[in-house]
Amino acid sequence: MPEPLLSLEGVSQEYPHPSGRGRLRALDGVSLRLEAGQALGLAGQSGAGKSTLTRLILGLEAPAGGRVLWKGRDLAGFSRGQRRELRRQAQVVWQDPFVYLNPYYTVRNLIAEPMEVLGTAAGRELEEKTRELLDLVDLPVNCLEARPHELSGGQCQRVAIARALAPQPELLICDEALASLDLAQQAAVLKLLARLRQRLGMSYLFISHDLAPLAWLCSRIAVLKDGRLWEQGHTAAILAQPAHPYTKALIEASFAAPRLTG
Amino acid sequence: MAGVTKAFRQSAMARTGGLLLALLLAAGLAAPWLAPHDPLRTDLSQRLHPPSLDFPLGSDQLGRCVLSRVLFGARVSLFASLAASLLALGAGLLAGLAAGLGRPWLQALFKAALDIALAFPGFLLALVLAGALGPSLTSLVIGIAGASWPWWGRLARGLTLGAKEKEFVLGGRVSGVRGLRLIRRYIMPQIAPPILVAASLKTAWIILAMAGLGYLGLGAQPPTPEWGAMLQESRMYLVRAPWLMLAPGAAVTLSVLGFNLLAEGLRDAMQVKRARSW
Repeated sequence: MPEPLLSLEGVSQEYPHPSGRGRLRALDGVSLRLEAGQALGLAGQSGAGKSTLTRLILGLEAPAGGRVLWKGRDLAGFSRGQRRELRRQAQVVWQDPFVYLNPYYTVRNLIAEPMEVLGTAAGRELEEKTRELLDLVDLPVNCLEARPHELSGGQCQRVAIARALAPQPELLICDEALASLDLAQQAAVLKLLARLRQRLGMSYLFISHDLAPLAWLCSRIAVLKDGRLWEQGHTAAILAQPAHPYTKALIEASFAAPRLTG
Repeated sequence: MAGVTKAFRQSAMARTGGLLLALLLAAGLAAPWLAPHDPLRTDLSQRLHPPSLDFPLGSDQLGRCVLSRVLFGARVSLFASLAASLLALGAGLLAGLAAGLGRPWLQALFKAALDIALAFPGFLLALVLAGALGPSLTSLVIGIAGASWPWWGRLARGLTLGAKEKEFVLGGRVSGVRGLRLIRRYIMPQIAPPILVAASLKTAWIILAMAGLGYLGLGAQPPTPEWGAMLQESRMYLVRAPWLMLAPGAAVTLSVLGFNLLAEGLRDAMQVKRARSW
């Protein structure tokens, strides 16, 4: 069996409790596998530990217990060069593009920067690739000189996607990437993400509190609650027969109002 | 920086301060053409003249033209203050960035250095430093810069610690941004506007300190026209020739006022802007 792109083995994470006393357990023995080219959905409400998971996978934090493996190698043993390579291979689209994109930058800077700093393109090629990426996320060329606050939420999230795609990553983590958008924009961005995956063949880790987009985009789903993984499996199987009452509640909440399912 | 220029245009107070400073600096630069007399030429037959057509602001105890001396003094006092301010700002900014962004041991080291340096009272430290280096304008500049850089360091450190926690800084790191680029493009744009406002306020303090230390006999030595030194020389003639004190006193007051207006105006305008766009 080939090495999975990403696997988590019994990963735990703790933070000092906000009250100053004791520790807060954000993740507790989470094990996950993501094969190359697969789309994995991670469902869970706020506080479930989804964002902690993102930071661990990106190597921004070290886990308190367990191992995070990238292509079979433990992140903890990564050299500076390997960490840099991980920056190129794993990218993320965050929840709120207005706070995660440098407000002093133009769209051109935002999209070009990862290629500049990672040295994947320069000069004329950089400009061409920037325009290609802009086109890829369906934004017009006249956006190039705009700053994030001059764009709508949906446009801004497209810029964030283009920026994340710039280093040609193998894994794209979408951390609640739809949550700050209105329904029409959510649908449009979701369709864009599906199309991009088909075209570029990346793996997705799609994190959301809403099961509806997960079900639409991902072949496998994992359910996270209070830092623990309650169940995981094929999307259809979990939707049809949730093993856990929490999953059932999540399904009911997500599909109560029929939307985005078409 | 665009925010600062915009704030400057919006605020009448900042524009007034800026105009005042521009006039003072221009007067200093154009002193050779504006001054009616040689600021250094003594003529004991003309001593202690009250303001007249020949001596618009009177003449001093050695018969030198007070207006000419105040104009030439602007070069010395304002440029020395600006030099001291920039020197302190540069050193403090570097220390503050290191204390906010460096490796943990570097952060601890710079924080400790700043805490220790801040424990000394500024004016006294400037006095000791300038005194130890010998009475000259250069040593006064170094003394004042040496006494005020920790203040900048603390300010820059505090601002940096807040700036680096912004989500978009994390967003930049994840895209591979680090080192100087991170400082220049992610941290500096956030901390530059408040630092600029503080720079303006601090320069006002430095002008006062400079005049104060000049008054104590440190800094520019006679016969160099410097506002603080002029004030000191005038104190013996306070009753007989009060214009001697009024002219350099007014010059110091106007420059301090200029920097304060500029700082207050920019601060108000930028806070308004912040409230509007976030």
